[in-house]
Amino acid sequence: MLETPEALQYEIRRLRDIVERQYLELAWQQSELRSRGGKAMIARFGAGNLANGKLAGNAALLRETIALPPPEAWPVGNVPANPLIPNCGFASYASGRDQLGAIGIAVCGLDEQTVEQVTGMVEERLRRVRNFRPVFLMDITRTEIFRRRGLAYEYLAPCDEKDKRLAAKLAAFNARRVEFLKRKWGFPGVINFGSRAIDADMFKSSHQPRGRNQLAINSAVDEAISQSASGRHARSSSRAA
Amino acid sequence: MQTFDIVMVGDFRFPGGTSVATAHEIRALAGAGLSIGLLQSNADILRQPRPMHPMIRACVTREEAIVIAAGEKKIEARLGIFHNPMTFTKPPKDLPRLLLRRAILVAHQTHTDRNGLPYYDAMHIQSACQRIACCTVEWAPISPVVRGNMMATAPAIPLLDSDWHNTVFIEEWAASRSKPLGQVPVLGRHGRADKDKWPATRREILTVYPADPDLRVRLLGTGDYLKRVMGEYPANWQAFRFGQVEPRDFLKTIDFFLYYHHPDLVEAFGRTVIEACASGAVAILPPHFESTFGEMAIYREASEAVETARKLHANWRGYLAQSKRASKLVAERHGPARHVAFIQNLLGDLPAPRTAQQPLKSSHKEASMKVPSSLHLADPSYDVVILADMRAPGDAGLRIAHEIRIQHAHGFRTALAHVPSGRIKSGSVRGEIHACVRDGMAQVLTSSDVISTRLLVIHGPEDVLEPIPEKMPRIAASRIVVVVGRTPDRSYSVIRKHRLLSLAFQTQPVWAPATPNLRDALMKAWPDIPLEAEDWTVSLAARAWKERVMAWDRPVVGRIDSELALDFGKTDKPEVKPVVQPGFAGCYVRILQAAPITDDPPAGPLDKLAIEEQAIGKFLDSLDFLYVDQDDLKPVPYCAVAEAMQRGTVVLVKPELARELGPGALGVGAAKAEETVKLFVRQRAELSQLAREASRNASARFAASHHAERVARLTGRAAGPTVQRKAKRQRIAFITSNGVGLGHLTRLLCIARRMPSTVDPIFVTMSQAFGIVKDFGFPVEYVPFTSQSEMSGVQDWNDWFKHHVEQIFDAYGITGAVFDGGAPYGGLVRAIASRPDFFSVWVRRGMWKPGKSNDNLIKRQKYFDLVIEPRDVADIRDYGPTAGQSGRSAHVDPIRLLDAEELLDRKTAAKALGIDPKRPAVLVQLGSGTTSEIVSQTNEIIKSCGRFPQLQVVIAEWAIGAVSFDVWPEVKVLRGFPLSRYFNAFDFTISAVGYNSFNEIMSFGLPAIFLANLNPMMDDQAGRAAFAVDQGAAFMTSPDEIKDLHVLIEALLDERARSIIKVNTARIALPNGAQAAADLILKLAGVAPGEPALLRLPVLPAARQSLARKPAARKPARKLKAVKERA
Repeated sequence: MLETPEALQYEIRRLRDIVERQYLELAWQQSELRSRGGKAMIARFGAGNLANGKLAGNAALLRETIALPPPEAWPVGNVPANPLIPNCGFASYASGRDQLGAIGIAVCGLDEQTVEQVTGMVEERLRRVRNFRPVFLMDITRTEIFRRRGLAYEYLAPCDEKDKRLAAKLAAFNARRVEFLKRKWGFPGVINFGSRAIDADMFKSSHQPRGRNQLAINSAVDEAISQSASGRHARSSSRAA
Repeated sequence: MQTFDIVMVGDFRFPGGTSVATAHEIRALAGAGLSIGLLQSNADILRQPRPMHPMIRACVTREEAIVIAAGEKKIEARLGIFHNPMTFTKPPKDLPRLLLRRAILVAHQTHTDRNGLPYYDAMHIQSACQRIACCTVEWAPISPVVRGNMMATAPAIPLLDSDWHNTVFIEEWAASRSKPLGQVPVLGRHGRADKDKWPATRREILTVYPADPDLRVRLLGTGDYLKRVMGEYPANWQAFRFGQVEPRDFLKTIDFFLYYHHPDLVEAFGRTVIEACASGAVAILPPHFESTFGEMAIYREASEAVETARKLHANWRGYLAQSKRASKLVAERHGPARHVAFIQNLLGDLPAPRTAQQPLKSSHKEASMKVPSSLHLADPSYDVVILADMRAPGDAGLRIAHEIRIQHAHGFRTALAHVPSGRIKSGSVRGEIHACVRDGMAQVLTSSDVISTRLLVIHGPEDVLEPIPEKMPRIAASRIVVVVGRTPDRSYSVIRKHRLLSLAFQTQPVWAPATPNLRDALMKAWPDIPLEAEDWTVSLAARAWKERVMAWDRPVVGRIDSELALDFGKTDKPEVKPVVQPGFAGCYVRILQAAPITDDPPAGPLDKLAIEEQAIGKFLDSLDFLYVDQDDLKPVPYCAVAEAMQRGTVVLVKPELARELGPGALGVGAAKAEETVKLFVRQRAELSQLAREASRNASARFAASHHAERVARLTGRAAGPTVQRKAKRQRIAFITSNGVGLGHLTRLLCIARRMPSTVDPIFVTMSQAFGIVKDFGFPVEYVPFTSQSEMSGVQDWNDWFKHHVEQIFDAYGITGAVFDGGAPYGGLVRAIASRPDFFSVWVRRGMWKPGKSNDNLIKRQKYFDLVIEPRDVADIRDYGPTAGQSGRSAHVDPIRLLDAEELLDRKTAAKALGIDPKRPAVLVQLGSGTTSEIVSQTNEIIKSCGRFPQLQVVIAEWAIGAVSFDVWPEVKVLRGFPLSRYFNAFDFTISAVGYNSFNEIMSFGLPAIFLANLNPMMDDQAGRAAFAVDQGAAFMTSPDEIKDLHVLIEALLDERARSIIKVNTARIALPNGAQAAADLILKLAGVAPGEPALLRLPVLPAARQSLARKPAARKPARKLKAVKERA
């Protein structure tokens, strides 16, 4: 019987360790299977061919939203007090339960293979340092890349519009969305590995990694963590004040 | 630092002579080119909030003086004039530092009364003023009386050598007196209504103002004191309350000014006397005034005053001589030139007079300091500003929303000022009002805004400026109307509120009762309050008639309990007792209430909703009858009643109110209400007819044009032609929960595909398989489910979900939402609640697991306008909790994505899959594996299938599957959507028994071996499978029996067995209900059904990748199993 909180914590820790080990082993096996030609065994049927004619894309349906005054002048619902805490991923599932800072990682505009590669590298980094929780901002529909790693992600509608006006509208909408996501997940900025501009207020990373260089990823993540930590410090100081 | 020639320090709110004199002095000195700053210092004796005296305010408006803003640090002036010692009885706080060359305190008041009792502590006031002025303050008595009193009682006080000069602009007061006003003398007086200003007794009053038909008496400034002393006024008296008539107009209507005050009063000066003399009226005063006014008046004891007047009236020449003498003396002694000269002496020299065009000195911070002017609104920012606590739960919120819509439709520019009340501790702006803002019909003002408007409408006066906010928008209004929607009770004083509003907006408000009854109540209780000529009746924004989408199996009666109770507890009305309200047995009863719900009843015939959980319009749409409580303890929500009628809901009200409301309102007492409902329910056709009549009647009776005309009259701006809002394209959000498979998403895809091209479906899903939706060509937004934030609470997730969904609703202009999921999330419910013209549908499949308490989920149906329950082929076996709620949901046939003709034929499907159409094939579809262990089951199935070498096995891998099936090299893996399109390629299937799989299999006649997922989270899969087996339409196995699966497979490889099963499935199959569901939604949205945009499918191209079988180097399944075992 788990009679003390310490014993309970120990047991939870033990179970999480098991999950993490199991995940790693499964990941290794799947990787091995794929390298032996398993990919060719999977039939993919795009369902897009079911559509009869093209529907309007996201951008065409967007409309101008009216900016509301501040909540003190116009209270329309409480702003949630606590940002959500993203999953830490199966690769570091046994990492501490403490509130690690969230970091937004954008991979928009990249093809699925590159997203897979970047996500793998971020996961690898996560496995080693275990001091952040990533939230991926992506625009692909192959969610299994993140799902099988237990990582949190948000979808930003891709900007595939040829019409510049629509593209600008969608970009503005996505910029608003990114601002919202920053508040929702509590990350101060976004590391952009993608080829699409996401947000004007990204981390000022001098190298602007494009997702293939592990060193670049490490450097960007380190920079983001330090900024995130200083942001948290500043926030906690202001709260204390 | 600001600089002025003169800074006047005083309380500019004094209602009487002090302020009038100050205003005249400002005019005189400003005309001489002196710059004047006004520094407000609140007098302790004026504890009630008051506005600045209108004459001083007018000076500010004319830019003759500047109000020094609070917070100013330092002021420099050549002369400081402190007005009235009574202002400084308590040392003023927070005044700026004054740098003055000289300081004068004008003694408007004697130090002591006739009995020697001091009105104030002169030395204390002297030191207080000196602390402000930082120099010696000299006192300037306003009359010899004050001087004498000061010298006698406060000899230490430094006095100026000459008295202060009261100023009057005689040309503004002068009236023609060529002949008497009438046959009999007209005696009168004006002044404040205080006790001090009148003789002490009734007899003494009647001595001066006799009840004599040969005399006329006109008195301005009567009040409670005089009424109390006199009782009924004599017939020859005409009494006017203070402020009711302008003094200069009043004085023109009297011949003689008789002023005899209380014996205890030492009248310091008596400004009213010089005003009377300036108007040409002959003043008859008690002898003690002679030292002050000299030859301006005739001095008589009270007993001789009337007789003197009679004589002089008879001798008009003598009258005129006295009148002219007095006027001349007033001009000489109290004209503006005299005052300017007096100040000139004090200053030493004067600058050149300022011309009218010359602006004030540049050092003045004009804009920031001026009191908002109600007088010159050349180009107001808005036509109408509505000020209220926009969160208030009662009828006012609904009224405001309608008024905004009407104003917008008629081209009036509207702004909203939300002033939070202390009574409402928290909450959001009413959804009805916010919807108007969201649609751009009105602007919201912030506390830093400075605007002007033609009309300021204040709703819910009981809540406004209680407490006075620290910051609020500065609003200059030409007119202010206070709308009284409920009987003012003792929770606030109308008089006090009137004064407070006058102070806040510097314009006298007019009160507008909403009903004749309220008008009567106001007139009786507060006769002095100025009332708007017409009642502020309810007006409703135009609305097209809409038929009810579905009728529930029992009548629906609603009650609105949104108003807070009247404050009868503090009145002497013991007869008011709560009336027992009817229970409406056999009906669905829905209650919308202002108070938070603490006793939420279980799902059943009673729904309780808090006002923030559902917009009133939506609530009314769900009703057959609206019953209005008849116990007099709560005000009638008139606007809600009117809107109910407009929407075609029959209202049950008191008989007298029913007569007022007309057709559509049934006048029944509480005891008869239940019986009336039952009677009408038996006559559905009559009820329907009555509903239409109610709508027609309400649309005419509460027409929008009434309010448009009212606003046009009050703003002086013609109402524009009605702006017909362009009918919005319906954009419907199809929202699905996470789900363990694709069921929710698939069902909504079924419906969305059948929407006409006039509708834009937009998917908002928590399903990670959202790519499927995109492949179908629909716009999709993904919102991560709570499982992606493992450490956050569900409440936090719901809060963010609400914001996320609202952002999507606003960005796309969503007009309604269709939700498919087991539990409508709190965040979703809250996002929908604030949208009054937003329809909501819950698509809720049946076959929930029986015996499980899901009451808290089921009762969320109360938030939706429509619950669609797609039938299940096996629904005869539905013993779950939704079965008991069937009376209030719309039933359609099972919803399927594809119709039979959309399935590929065997050859094409087999070719697409890369299998041989001539050999038997089985489709294994066990679901996503999220809630069941499907790897070992699949392993067993493959082993069993392996016994039949000719059998081709294809495993369906779910788009959001928890496991990957690329570990059995000998089988094909199919990952695509929708699987049913390839059903004809297979001879049978081994399948889980989810809603979509089961109903597709049954409807398309694919022989099956069902393997139910028995996870407690799931629906009743075992029940479905058992039904199919009972009907001879399928086989069934279980995890325990799966080792014997080969027996069933062998049976299904027999063509005859499959034929029998196909016959049986055809017998129980049901048509596709997707189009019927779509039609129900379209009807709710008010969209005409049309040709479905995506119904026809093109021919499927060949598969992109062949399914080549490659031998594996080893058997990974075994290793995987080993890993699992270790884990």
